[in-house]
Amino acid sequence: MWCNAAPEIPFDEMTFFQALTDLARRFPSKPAIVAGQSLGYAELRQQVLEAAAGLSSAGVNAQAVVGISIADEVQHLIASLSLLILGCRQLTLASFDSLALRTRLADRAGVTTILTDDGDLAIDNRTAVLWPCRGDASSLRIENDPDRTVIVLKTSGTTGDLNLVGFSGAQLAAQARRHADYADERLLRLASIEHNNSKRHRLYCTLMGGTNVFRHGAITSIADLCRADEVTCLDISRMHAADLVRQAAGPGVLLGGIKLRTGGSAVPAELRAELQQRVTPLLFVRYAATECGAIAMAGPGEHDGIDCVGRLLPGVQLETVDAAGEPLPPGTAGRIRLKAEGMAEGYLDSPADTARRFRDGWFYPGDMGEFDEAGLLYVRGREDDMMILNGLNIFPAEIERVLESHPAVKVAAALPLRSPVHGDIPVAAVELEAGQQVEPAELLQFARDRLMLRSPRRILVLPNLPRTDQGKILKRELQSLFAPKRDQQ
Amino acid sequence: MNEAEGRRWLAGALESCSVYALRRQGLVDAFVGGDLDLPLADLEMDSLAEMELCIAIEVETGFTVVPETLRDHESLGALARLVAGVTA
Repeated sequence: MWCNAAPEIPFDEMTFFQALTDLARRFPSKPAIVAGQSLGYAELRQQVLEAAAGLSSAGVNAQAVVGISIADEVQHLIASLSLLILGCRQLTLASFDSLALRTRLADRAGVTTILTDDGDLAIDNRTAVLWPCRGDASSLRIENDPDRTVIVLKTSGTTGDLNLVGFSGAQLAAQARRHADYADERLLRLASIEHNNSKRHRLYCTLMGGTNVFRHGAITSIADLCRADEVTCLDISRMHAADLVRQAAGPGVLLGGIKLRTGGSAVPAELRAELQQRVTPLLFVRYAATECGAIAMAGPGEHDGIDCVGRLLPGVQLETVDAAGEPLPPGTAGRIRLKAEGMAEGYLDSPADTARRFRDGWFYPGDMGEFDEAGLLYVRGREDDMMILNGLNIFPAEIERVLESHPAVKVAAALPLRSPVHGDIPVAAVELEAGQQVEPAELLQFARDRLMLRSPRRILVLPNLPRTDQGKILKRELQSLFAPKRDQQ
Repeated sequence: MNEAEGRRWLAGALESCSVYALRRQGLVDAFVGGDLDLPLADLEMDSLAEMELCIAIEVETGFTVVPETLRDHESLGALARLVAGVTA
């Protein structure tokens, strides 16, 4: 246990720089970053200060809005921390995104400066600053306003476009407090720091005094990397979950003793069971939203129930309400609304979505859910995704769970066909496990036997479901594949 | 889709809608082969089965059918021609 000494001033009153300085003082040699080699907190602080000084010399100050295009995860984290202590606003312009998308995001966020280690990622009409930067830290001006917006994150909008949401240092710190356990973890996340969620968890881990472990070239096997770098906590997405189960084909448990955490798209119950049997019994399922950070987490034994995301984390108030906004009792599914420490107050440039999602101090994430009598939260699906077929409420997740319980099916996506008479007719597309074959008719019958009137009325078997680069299935793209044959001619 | 394909599809759709009258009477092959037709009333569909058949036709063809218009078709063969005509 490294973090057994209290900081000199309360954590929530610190700026990022004060927090980093405090950690460097208390735990100078504790590894802050491990990527083959180890970087202690004192050395990290020094590197961040020198980088901030270099950025300052290059003209980056608190008024700048900086787009970061750095694929190297360690360098990206150091650059991000440097910008935080300068107090300028930053947004990741991921190196894997197209120039068109990076330019559009830069326009919307008002990016003035591109910070990159690759000159090809510069964007016209913005100042390009090449990373790494180093300078003399002795005359550096540190920004001390914790309420200044310093991080802009992307999140899914309701119209198919992205929304941008900004957070101050104080808001990030408040979110980080819900991850106090990071203090004693060596955290590896398989998604790159250029992804929203990874970036914020890397920052939380730093703020809490934990150790960020990164993938590095020498080791390609996740199990080998976890063993070599003594990872204690591995964070994965649904895509990685299936890969890990495949890697654990041999006897024994692949990552015994390591905490495995999933967030984002739900991991089906069957896959969760396989992860616990073959990868590690210490599986945690997290419910979170970009707009507020982590909301709830289910530990081992709690998420065996379908859709259960566990108990609310400290600092989160959540209700399920009916259409009139009245709170619902346990056991009744309704619209989720919540308040959380560090929650955003709206989107940067989307007043319509702000009005829709942020009302009367509550954030409406667009999910449907319910509590049980024991206080465990169950997320039933997206409010927008709920289908109503002749008055019958159907959630895509229930169809997807059933189809994914078929041995040939790797992943399923359910969606509605809009009917002027019947409302939403549920249909589904599936991707099969390698080497498996199954006819749609068999899957239709399989689903009908289990779901009856809630079953999909048409199923497509596809080689691959269309996905975003984060593995989220693109249902909008699937929709066109279900056009009736009349429309296809 | 021609009429024969429309009949084959319709025979399958009836099974999916839990309407087993054709199979129970051993008439599936004769109907699909075009050697037999029978009134819709002989299928003994309840309201739920009618609704499900309407949904199946809409998903397959994009053509909106409600139970009332379904009953306007004098026979199963006529319904198969509707399906085939729409998708042809």
